[in-house]
Amino acid sequence: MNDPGAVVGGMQGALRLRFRSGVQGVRRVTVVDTLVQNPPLRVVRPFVLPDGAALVHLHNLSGGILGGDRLNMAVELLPGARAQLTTTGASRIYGRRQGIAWQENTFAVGAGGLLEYLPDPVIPYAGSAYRQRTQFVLGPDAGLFAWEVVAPGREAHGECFGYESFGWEWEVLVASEAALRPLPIAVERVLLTPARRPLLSLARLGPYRYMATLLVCRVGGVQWDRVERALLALAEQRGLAEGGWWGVSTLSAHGVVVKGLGQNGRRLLDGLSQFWGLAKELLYAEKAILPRKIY
Amino acid sequence: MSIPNWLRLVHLADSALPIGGTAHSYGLETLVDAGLLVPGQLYEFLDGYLVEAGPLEALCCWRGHALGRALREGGTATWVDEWVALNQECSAVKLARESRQASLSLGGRLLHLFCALEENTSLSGLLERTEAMGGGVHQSCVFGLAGGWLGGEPSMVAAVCLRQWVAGLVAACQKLAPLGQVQAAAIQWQLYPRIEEVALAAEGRPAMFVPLVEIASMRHPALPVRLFIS
Repeated sequence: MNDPGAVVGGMQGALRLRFRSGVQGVRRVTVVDTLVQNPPLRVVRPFVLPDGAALVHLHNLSGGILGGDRLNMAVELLPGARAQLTTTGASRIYGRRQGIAWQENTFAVGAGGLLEYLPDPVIPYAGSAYRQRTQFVLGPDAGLFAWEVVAPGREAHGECFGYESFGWEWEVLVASEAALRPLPIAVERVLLTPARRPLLSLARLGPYRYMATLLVCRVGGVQWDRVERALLALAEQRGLAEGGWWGVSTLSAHGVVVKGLGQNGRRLLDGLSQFWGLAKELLYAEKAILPRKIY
Repeated sequence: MSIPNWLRLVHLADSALPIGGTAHSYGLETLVDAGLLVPGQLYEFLDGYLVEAGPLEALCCWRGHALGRALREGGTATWVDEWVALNQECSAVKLARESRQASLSLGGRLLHLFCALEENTSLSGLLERTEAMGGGVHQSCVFGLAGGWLGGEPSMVAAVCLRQWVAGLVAACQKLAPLGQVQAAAIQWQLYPRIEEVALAAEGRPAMFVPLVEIASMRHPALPVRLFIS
């Protein structure tokens, strides 16, 4: 995915967070340092979850991403830290007026850390042009649960694939001291241009409009074929119950990916929560704690 | 490229090559089983699939080709590292396990066969070092490598690689659905201009959007009755 080039009048937001493991009384908790926050990106305060993880809500003060915006988020989890990141609402990508909007996210999870990145759906409005690049770098025994749901547009306004272009790229890398360079275990690069390449083609979405992805990773000795089988059984149940189309696959190493297509974003999000819950039980023998939106 | 080497490349692209190419449907079996893919839609489907997934195969082929040519000319210090990295990247992009393993399985067999046929010490050394580093090799990377080694023009090698890939998909559909020989041949025939377009455009970091097929491949292990391994 090519960088769209110089900014033409958009916001240059930046957010840099560092999570570190600390002690509160007799509990191990994760503490957050906000190193940089430039509008429109902002965090207010973290909340401590029952398992000691820090829950942080990612705010966009603009209410959405505007054409020409360049947003950069860098998150680092030091060894042993646990973080849950979510948004306060759907990410709206507004129509293009000042160039392509661009967001770049990097997440580095240190040894034994756990990142849960659970944003609300992305809604690309008609006429919008957006690119997003996300990189996860995992250290030894680091864990990751990350999902994304992409809507076809503002369906209530009759929009369906009215955006000009929507590109995303994510990659999961595993870092180790023994290897000269991090090992890529999962990469996805997509560029959707609905006017040029119809998305309802059988080679793309077929009869579906919403798409969802969940990444489940833990570096180390996990029996991934067992995880795949368990999640695939859930995929069958979800599909039969709701008419969605779910699939599960082990990655080339250290993880599985869950993909879902459907006609309803809320149901896909419900499905993702179930997959996440089951995967967290299998990997950590812990219950997944749904991110609260209001405190 | 000499005529014997051109014939060798065509030989490697033959669907009858004993590497197991006919055992895989890459998710198409699930699509047909679910009633999502019927013969009347096959041309449109393959055209779209070629546009989306073809650039990755073509790019792997091009990069394999460059390494094959370099190996023929004596190789470079970073040759094996680049070869391993190429195949690791290819594995990372192929998210559906069965399709990834199919590509690796065919790639491994193709590399073994090619090395056995060429009887060259550089190639046997490559085989040994590749196996020692683990991780496997993908079919399009190996095909490109062979094409570069044989001295083929890269876009031509990539086009032949894509034609073989499409032919495999069409052949799978013939086993799965009522699709006649002439109809199957006509579909491939009509796709050749698209194959050229995709083979020539391979560059950079290609985007790919085939979620329906990916999920179909991921669901394939759950089918109660299966004709294909993937």
